[in-house]
Amino acid sequence: MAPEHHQFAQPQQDVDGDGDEYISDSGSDFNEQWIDWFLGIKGNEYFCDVDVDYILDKFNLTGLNTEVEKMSKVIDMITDGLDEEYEIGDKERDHLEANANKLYGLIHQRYIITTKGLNKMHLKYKNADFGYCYRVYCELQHLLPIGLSDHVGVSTVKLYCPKCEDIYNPKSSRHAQIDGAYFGTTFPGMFLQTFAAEVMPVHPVERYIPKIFGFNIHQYAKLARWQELQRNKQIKRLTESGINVANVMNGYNINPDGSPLKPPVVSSGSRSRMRSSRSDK
Amino acid sequence: MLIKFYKILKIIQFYPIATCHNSTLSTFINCSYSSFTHTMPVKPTISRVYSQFNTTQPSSYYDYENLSLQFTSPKQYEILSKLGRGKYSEVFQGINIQDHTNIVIKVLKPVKRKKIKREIKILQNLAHGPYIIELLAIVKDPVSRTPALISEYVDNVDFRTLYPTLSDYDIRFYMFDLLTALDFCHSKGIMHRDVKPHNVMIDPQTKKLRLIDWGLAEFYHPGTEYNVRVASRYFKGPELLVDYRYYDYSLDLWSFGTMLASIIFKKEPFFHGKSNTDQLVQIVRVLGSEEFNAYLAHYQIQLGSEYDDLGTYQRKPFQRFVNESNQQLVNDQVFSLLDQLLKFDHMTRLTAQEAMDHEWFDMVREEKMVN
Repeated sequence: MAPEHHQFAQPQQDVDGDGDEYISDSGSDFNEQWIDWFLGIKGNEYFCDVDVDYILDKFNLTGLNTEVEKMSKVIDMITDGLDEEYEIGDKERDHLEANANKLYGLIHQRYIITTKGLNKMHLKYKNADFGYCYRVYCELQHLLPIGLSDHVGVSTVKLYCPKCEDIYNPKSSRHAQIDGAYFGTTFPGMFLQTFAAEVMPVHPVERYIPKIFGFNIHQYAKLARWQELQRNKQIKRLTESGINVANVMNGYNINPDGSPLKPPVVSSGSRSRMRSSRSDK
Repeated sequence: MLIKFYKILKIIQFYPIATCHNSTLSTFINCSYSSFTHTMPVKPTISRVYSQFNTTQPSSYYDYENLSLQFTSPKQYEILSKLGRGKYSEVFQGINIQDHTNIVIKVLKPVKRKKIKREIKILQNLAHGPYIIELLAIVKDPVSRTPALISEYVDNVDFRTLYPTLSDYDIRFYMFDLLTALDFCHSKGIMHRDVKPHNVMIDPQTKKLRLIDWGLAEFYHPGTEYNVRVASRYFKGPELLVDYRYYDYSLDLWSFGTMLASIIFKKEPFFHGKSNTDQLVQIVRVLGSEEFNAYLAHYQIQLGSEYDDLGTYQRKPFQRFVNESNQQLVNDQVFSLLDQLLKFDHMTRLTAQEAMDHEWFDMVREEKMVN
């Protein structure tokens, strides 16, 4: 717990700029900075800032008192309510601190699916604050944070790719330690519904098939062919019933005839090499 | 002149598998070598059979270096499983997804283009020959640019499993097929140079035999010195072990003989040398020093210093290899056949055709004639 204490102490020094390490004379200065300090901690880049008004509205905190201890003191800590006369020992400070993180996270889970919260997360999404999808064919699609549970202590935060519609572990270990409940299970779905016109991607249809010395491995290639056939059948059915899925939002990145719109990412290099080898002769 | 000589030596050093058809060049090196060591040159020989075949062919038949390769795309072939790996290739069982037939994919490791061309030219020249593996296509992946040979698939049973189960008749049956394949390729001016159980695919269900892996095979041009670093140790003929370079098709008959002996006596391999030097020792221990020395003297072969302590051995009759496990397979006829195959002197070894005419094959020959 000691390192957290130091993390807690350092921003005060930065804020006050007077070299005083632990004690701030101005209680309001201290309290106003808690959220900013929290967001500034390395690893907390996924969080957006929750309006103090939202935190202070008790209605928004319904039910959280079972998850967090010393609720009112913790709210005070986050929002500038902590009595400056209040005697606080190191041990208690650590305890409050941990609960403050937890409370902020749980409020965050609720906040990011409000209109204001979604807008703030939208900005962060556009900035790629949550990183990029690793899948080659997703072509650096921006990711969204997601929890596998809405309850604290079940699993850490994951990242959802709207293109391949799968979830991934965060790359950095700092991010990998964040509780998934602080983002919740609803956020990405809500996000995509809200900003559909702008953020709903076209799904790439190219896929990787393992090869050995340029030969497809039959077992994988056979399945891929079957799946492609099924997809093409489905696209045909949809098209026939008046639903266009070719190169439209949430559709496939294909031509109307079902062929992939773009050459596969992997073989684009080989094409140019093929050309150069021909010119060699 | 000196520089030129150095260059030639260098060429030979870096192209160990390549052989030179240029007799002027060979003679030149041979003379230089001899004058340096003050020894008599070895006596060259010419194959007793099919020696002039390539001479009668247009150069396009044997001039594989000028072969232009037409590669197709690997798209229609897919890998099912790995079958094995060789020194020069990785081999996979595959499938032709257009007609769903089984095939074998032999991906060639990076080797001299010349060697690839030689193997392909030889397979093309031998196409549709009896018991010769059929080359179906040559493909190249545009990305990795590794060439691969697509050939027919044989549902082979590993020889270590199969050979001990074969009856006397089965052995004669398959060995006759193998000789047919050898006689055919020899008649086409080609020596295989790597005959061994690993390169004989047998599907006992359909009794189908195929001679595979023509990667070391070479065109026979009379009077040419060939590289002795061919074949696999246990199947290397004495000519390779004593560095006699004027060998010919008869090399394959030695390898065939050792294979036959190992099957008949259930002793795998028959000559079990721990090194190339020891390989010759193992052979002399069976065939005897007397015959060996007569062979060396006849061709004026000088042994290398590694054989200084070769020792003297009495000939060990084949009868001595008979035991409880193999006695039902042996008889005087097979001893006679082995005796005429496992000869130091390649000129007195049976040819493939002569071996097929041996009485041991009488019972299968008749059946084969009918089919």
